[in-house]
Amino acid sequence: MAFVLRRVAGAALVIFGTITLVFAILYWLPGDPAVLVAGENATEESIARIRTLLGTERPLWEQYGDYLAGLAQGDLGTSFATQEPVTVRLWAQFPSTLALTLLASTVAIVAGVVAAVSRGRWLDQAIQAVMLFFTSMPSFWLGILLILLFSVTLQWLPAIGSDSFAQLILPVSCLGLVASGRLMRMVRNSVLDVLDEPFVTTLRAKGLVEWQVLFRHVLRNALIPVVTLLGILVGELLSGTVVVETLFARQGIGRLLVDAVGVKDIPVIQGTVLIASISFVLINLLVDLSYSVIDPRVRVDG
Amino acid sequence: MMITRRHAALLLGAPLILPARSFAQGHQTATPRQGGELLFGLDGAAVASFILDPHDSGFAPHNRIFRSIYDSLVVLRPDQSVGPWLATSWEISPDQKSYTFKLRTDVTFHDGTKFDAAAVKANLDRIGNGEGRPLTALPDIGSFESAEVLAPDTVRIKLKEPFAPLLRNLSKTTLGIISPTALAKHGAAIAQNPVGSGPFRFVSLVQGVEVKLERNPAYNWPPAGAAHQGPAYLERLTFKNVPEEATRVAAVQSRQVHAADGIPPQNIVSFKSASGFQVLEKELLNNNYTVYLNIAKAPWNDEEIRQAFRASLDIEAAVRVIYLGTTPRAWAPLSPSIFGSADAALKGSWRPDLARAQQILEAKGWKVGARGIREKDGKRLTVSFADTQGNREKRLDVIQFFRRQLARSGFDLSIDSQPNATYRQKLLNGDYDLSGASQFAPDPDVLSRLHLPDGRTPASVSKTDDPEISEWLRAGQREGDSEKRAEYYIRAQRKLVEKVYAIPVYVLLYTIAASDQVQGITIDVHGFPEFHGAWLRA
Repeated sequence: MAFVLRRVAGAALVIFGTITLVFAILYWLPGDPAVLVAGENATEESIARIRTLLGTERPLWEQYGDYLAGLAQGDLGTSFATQEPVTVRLWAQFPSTLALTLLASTVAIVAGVVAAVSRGRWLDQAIQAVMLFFTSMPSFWLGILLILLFSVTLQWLPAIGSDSFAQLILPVSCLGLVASGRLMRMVRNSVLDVLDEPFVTTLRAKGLVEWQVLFRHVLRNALIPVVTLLGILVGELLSGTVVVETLFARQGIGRLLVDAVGVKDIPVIQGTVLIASISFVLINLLVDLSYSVIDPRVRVDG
Repeated sequence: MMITRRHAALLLGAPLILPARSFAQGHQTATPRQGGELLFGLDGAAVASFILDPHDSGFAPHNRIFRSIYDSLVVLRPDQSVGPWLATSWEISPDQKSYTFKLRTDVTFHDGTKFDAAAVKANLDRIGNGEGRPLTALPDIGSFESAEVLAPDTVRIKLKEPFAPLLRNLSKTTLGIISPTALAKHGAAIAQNPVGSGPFRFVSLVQGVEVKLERNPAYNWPPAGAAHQGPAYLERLTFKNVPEEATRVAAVQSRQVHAADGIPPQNIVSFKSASGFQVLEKELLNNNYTVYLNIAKAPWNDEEIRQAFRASLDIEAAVRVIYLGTTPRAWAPLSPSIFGSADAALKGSWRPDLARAQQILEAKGWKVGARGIREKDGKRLTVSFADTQGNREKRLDVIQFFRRQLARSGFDLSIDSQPNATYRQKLLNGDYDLSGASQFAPDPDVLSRLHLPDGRTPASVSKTDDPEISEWLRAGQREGDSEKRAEYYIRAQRKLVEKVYAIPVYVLLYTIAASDQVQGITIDVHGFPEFHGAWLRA
């Protein structure tokens, strides 16, 4: 229990550190948000009025304090650009990115397991070759190829939008193939390592069917390094979504963030970073906690 | 399904290899069909959010949506004269400081509010005497003083000074009329809850992604000359923001959207020759895409160096290579169709002259140094182009092309791409060498916003401060006689080009590629799409 508490406290500290750092960076970056909000025809005096309205002329520590106080009450502030609550803007975009990221990871894990199980055979080689090919390809370029082949030429799948499952297939393939190549190889190697362990031979000798060996014993053991990497990859996948979301005209956190940075919409940037760091930390926390579930021998107390 | 040769060609981005066929001829006689949803792919590379407040967005992709939701007091006719719309007639006082409009009495907004003089007043007061920050449309109403309701169907606009551009500006999307009830209710949030009196009414939006509209069944007041009277044929109209041009083209080709705008040149060429597709094009009334040298700063404070810079450029070649003949090069700041454009007057007014450029630079003491870049007193002839929009309309490709041309005379040009916030800060501080911009405009007075020192916005990239030009531009605002007005603006444009305060680059044609299922999309005189007459074949 102490272990769990310590991990949760650590996670909170990471989130806190991240938002503090981002706050400081935003504060020092050039560009006065009031000038951007004020629009093209603004006079000095109207810019000053907006500065007061946005509260951006106050000292850093004061703004920071207010931000934290708001956070404590679940208030992420109001978007400078559209004057909507940041939470509204985030919740409109987050599910789309989450679906994209989770599905892309799943594609990579399944591909890794399938490759490992069919080690050395054509399927393994094919998966590995395909992954290597796509990992070394910019996701932007791959995305365009996928669109030309599956939307324009074959007309099987939609190129744009984020309403239906069909609209997920191309972006997930793009993100899964490019960003998850490493994850897939990790899964494959990890599963292979376990397959080579003596206890697997013993299990087989005891007469267990191959799928029982795989699902009950091998995967369980192979998962530990994989979930660790998955934690790291979430960050990578989230950044990969920026390109994919733009290319496939999807809504999502990645695009929201890029747009917000462009117009220095500080509350939205803060909110996006917050939600990204929370996801990142949560996944890593779950990873840590899951060690002891996956393999009871792991005790990270010491 | 097999990948045929045609498909392979598509994959390689080659033009479709199929015989051309003209649609307009085949279907001209067809009767418009009611119903259906038209999906339109919008070129919104820089659309972070949809601001559906006409008074507060000068951004072209937003304005392309406005025309479907909002009507204007007057309409700009194809011959560039102003005609009635929500206003049936008007009178201008002899001192040109008071405009009295008679209004239609049969118009209602989407929320049921009646359109009347009070509605017009509410709109103009909002822009002219707004409490909050100044709205984008503020310069469009010039020296606005007040609006008076004389009768339910009569409104008078009073100006402090004569402002001749007013009437034409009232035809702009940016002066579209919003329901006063909705304005009072939503305030700034009108941008996400637009209520106008146009052929389509707002249903919903997903920020940065799509805007859904539906037919306004009561619509019966399009301007004379519209495709038809009465409500729109389409049941629904959805704008989908597709920032990436390759995807936008693919969405049309795969028929996932019925039509899309912002089609890149190579695809315009292939859509034109493809069967099953059509291309619509029209000049966007625009202050052309123009490169501005920051004349407040060395080396551009020396006119001869500016001449050397321009003489190093071959704009004709750059525009031809990059736009594949789909768009003409510009000679004047104002695009050719705008009343008062000096395009015809300036055609051929200067030519690229590398020898002269080199000669000027030599004479000024700029000697060729390392890697062919000129140097003087230990300083290199390095200049940077400030940009925030990325390769919108292939503008950075043009600048790259210029870069190679400039290298031949010893200029070292770099591109300084910055996020909007940083870019704007640099402009405000005057901390840039050159930059480029365009601005849509039905009236030549747009030049005042760019080149009058006190008319400029903080975001302006032009630093022109020429007493003669200022005087002409002010005279143009006061002059009631159209002929004389045009003369002032032509003079100003001549001098802008002669002194190299502005280097016009290309004339933008607004383009739409559509599948042959779509009929009746039109582009208005301003260069914005209209869907009132659009319909889908079964």
